[in-house]
Amino acid sequence: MNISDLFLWGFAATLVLTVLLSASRPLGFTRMDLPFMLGTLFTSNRNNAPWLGFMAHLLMGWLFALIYGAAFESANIATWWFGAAIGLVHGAFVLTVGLEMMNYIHPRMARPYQGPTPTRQLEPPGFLALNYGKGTPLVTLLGHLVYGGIIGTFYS
Amino acid sequence: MAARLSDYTLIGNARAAALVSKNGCIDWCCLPEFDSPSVFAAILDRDQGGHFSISPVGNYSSEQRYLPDTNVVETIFETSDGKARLLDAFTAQTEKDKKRNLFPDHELMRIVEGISGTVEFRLEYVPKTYYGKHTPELQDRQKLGIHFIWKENSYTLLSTLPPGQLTVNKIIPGCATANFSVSPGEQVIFSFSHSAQSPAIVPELKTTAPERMQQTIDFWKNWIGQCTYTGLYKEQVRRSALVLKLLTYAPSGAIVAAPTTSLPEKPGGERNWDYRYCWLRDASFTIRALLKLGFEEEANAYMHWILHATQLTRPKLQVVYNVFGHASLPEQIISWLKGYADSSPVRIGNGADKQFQLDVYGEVLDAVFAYSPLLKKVDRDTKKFVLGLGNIICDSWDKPDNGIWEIRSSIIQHTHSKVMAWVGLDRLIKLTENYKWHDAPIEKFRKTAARIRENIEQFGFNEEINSYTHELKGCKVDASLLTLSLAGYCDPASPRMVATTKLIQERLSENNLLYRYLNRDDGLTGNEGAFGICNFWLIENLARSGKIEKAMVLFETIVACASPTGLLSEEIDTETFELLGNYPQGFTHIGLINAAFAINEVYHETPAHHEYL
Repeated sequence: MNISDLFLWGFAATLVLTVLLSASRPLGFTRMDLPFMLGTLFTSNRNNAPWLGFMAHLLMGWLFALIYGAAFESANIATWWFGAAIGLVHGAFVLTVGLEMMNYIHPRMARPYQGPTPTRQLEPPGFLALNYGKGTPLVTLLGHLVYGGIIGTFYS
Repeated sequence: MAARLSDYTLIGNARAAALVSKNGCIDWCCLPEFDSPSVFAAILDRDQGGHFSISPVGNYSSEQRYLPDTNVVETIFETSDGKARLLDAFTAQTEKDKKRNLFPDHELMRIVEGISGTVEFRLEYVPKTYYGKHTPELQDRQKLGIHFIWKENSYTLLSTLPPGQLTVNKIIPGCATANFSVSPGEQVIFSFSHSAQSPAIVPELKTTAPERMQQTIDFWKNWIGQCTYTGLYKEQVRRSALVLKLLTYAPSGAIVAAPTTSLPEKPGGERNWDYRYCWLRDASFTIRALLKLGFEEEANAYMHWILHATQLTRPKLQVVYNVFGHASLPEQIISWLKGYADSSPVRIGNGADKQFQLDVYGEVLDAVFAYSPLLKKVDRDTKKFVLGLGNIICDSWDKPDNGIWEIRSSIIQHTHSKVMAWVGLDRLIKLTENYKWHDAPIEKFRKTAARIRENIEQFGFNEEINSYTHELKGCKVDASLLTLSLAGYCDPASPRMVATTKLIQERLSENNLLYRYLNRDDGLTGNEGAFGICNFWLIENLARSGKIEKAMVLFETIVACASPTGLLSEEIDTETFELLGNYPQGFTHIGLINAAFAINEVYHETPAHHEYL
């Protein structure tokens, strides 16, 4: 497995994924802010949460790049479309399982069945994270397709 | 003939709610959320809507009340054979209690208890999915209850009756019935539960249900125990707080305007709207009411919802959002329901989402300002958000809008909207100074605020009628002008405001109740009742301008119109004093809380003047 490729292009792909998700917020596609959501796992300070979350996101980007690398080696295919296909599965996993799991481990996120006790501050993502806007599944899948595509393209 | 709204009482768990009539019938319930399709909607159509009734056989009289300091409803039935009571509640537990046992997403518990003699009861369970459109297929699972599934949701009705007594009717589809009797000391328990997951969680009844009901009673007593208000009209204020809590959506912190849709502003008319959403215009009054009552956690949650819900439309604000900030609420007509007292159409969704209301910017900024004592430091995102609102006000304060009453027929230059634009900039200037935001364009805000005030004083006040007017260069008044003083634009005792209050009272009140406007084309046929919160705005103005006796008379007039359980709707018929419109209405109860505070403050400042009590 080419670790240096994964380290470099995993970093680049995570940056692109973050930019895509961030840009989709002011464009009105979604309210989901992954770095903020991850950052508030560690702190309730809203100023510190985004950069802490970005660091966590970057680490996760590298971790997932290693899994992509393992898949390329195992299948002996390392192309943009194979990377994008893994990205599609990855994105679907994030939407259906990942965010749902986060709902249960995040110390500051309300449970869907929470109440009448007031919320623990963060809204739960709901099915396919639709609570954060109807465009959320679309931009999340798109972001992960691009993430996988970049790693697949540049992995050698 | 539809039951009167005052014959209904609200139960809920801060995620969903139901209306229970004094006849023991659940005629309105949407699950799993406030704006989900209904399961019981008989209030909108007795035949088609679906209901869940438990009431004595034959003639009876009944009275309803909340158990003190709770949202648990007690209905006492009296027949010629005896007396019995029905307790209704959505079970409510603390998050700590919830960790001990599995529990369904929602559980609506009904307990019938004998008091004296023997009372025969009949139960009818007729759920209908999607606002009465579909009749579900009920499966009798014996000890596991009567069960049906709709989409991913499963619904189960359990009881402590012997097997075979609660049965699915083989002739009438989608109907289950039971006949039973209770004598003193006997108890029959029913549990209607909803689960969105499978396997569904089936709550145990015989051993643990009484404990869950007790936990529910304790939950509400502990919650209202945090209320710090101890002044005049304490009971009404505490009830209003409990109503507000039932209208809160706990997982996001939002507060819905009302839990119902299409209860008419005039029976038989078309003024029927869906209020199961969150209006930003309520923001500043809501935050102030919650903080005054000592409910900081709820205020935190509500402010958090405002900051997050608005992200899809920033920097612009919409008039209305759903509990998760969905900005598009397409309005549809449910043609198969007749409507309450044949008032069609029945609507779901709300077209106000596409309107422009300048005042919401001021209301949100005022809410942030009212909340700011709880914030030592404002984070970057919130700062960017509020400064963005200020820039929008500077760019659009001179544009016509739909106004606070969401008039669909025209957009005009509303004086109230201009005042709220001024309020927004005033609060933003104070926030900028308090938090020392050196990069904020404070001079631009100051200049624009001064121009807005100049405009209001020049064109929004009519010397001929000696009053502020509902539109610039106009000659009519509407009740929104009463908020000018309440929002801090002017003193309630200032000559211009006193004259405006007097004229509003002269022109818009009937039988001590106040309309929001009269003789105005709002694009709809028919008329409407007196508007709940406007009465409380008038009361606050009167109290704060020294007319406390008059304020107290008006306060007591309107609270006398409330249901026996203390609930108020959006409007009141000025002749029959019947409650009208969506019910219960959070905005009206917020008005009650703020008005009671105003009366109490003034009363205790100068007690010697008041011989009224």
